[in-house]
Amino acid sequence: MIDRELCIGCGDCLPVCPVGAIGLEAECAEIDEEMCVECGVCYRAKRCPVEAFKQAPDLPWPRIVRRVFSDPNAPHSATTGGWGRGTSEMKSNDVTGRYKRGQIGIAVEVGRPGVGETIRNVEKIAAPFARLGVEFEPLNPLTSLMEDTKRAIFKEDVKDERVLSAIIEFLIEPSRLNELVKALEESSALATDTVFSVSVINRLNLDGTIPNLEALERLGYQLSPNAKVNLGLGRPKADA
Amino acid sequence: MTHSLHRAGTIEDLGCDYVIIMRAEKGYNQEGSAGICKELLRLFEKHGAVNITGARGPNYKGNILETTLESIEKEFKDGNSPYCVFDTKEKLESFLREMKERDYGLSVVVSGLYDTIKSVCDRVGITPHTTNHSLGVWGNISLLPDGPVLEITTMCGHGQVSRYLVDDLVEKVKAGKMSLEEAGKELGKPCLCGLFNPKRAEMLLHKLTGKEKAERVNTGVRGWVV
Repeated sequence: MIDRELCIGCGDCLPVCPVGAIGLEAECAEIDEEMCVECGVCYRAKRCPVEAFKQAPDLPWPRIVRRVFSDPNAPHSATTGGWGRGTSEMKSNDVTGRYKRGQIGIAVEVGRPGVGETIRNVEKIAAPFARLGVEFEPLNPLTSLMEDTKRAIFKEDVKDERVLSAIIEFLIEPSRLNELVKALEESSALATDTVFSVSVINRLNLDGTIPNLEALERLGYQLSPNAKVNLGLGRPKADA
Repeated sequence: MTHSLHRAGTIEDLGCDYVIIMRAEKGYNQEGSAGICKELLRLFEKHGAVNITGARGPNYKGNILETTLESIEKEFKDGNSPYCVFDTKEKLESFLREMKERDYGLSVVVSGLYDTIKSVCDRVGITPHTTNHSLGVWGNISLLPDGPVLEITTMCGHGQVSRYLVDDLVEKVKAGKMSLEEAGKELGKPCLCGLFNPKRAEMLLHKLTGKEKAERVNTGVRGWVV
């Protein structure tokens, strides 16, 4: 929040907001509360020459949903206890064994990069994946906001909350890649006011090669040349 | 947290960008891990990381572009993950050699060009376990910023680096109010996880502030026109 008594209307704070929620009204900076995702960047940026930005220590439910999904310094205390978007995904797969051979992990991060989205629209984007009959990852804070995890229906009181991004996470069998890309295209057409970034997670083959990438390329989808690679140095070993 | 993936760029641009995430997992190997993690922060420094952090909580002041390594170390607790960025594959290799030797038992994740990571692993004697690739950006991609701006903002996977801040600092550099190096560091301050690469940002800012407009490159990955 901005202390209007202190604000001198210099506008130096405007560029720091990732979602462009700060504007100048009557020579005073003002936050558009609907657009704001409570990421805390404006407060931490220390750009304000008169320190007019204050951060409420606690936010009431459901407003707190914005903060835990947008501010990496706010833990998902009520669910996984994780930071950031709150899921460990493949970072510790060498010890957790969350992704096994013969499965593909999919993470659809709605709102990323830098656009944001409401939970109401996350629900629309998740619907085509629910129709595939997948199980949404239980150790992911977004899943805990669902009222019906089979149909990806979210709790009514959180639907108007806007977050910087949230991850829809599930597993699918390699034989269903065709269905997966159709669902992604369907979700993409529904994402008229936002974007989403898609991750493809693979446990490596015994010979060290990466499965499923060629199959995706045959379907016309190119994967990034850069990747996140778990080196398998963690203990205890999930495979042991 | 997929915050080190989806860093948009050409193969050439991504060649100077390797993120390290060390992970102690709750219920497996997290208890008592803070001591090892603090040691790791010093190893990151020893091997020449260009950004370092990992602590969290109300007293956390930010990455090394914002505060000191001592301050980060002080706030480090069990459950926090040490992070850093290397700007060369040589630094990555020397770090991984030491990791293999020390055998801490924490999960080590490297983000960067896969072929480079694989060849470094082959030389060091490490067999990768799991990969996570980006399938690009879907939806209304007309909402994305142009070229190098997208490359800069995607270096913070939690979206804390504003595209408008990039525009603002480009204007400051053009006006001679700030150097490219200062602007690169300034852009990395909001990235709490310290995954932002200020050296790469400096190179991208050079493209943005140059007299000649940089040619747009379609990388082939959906939404990655840089």
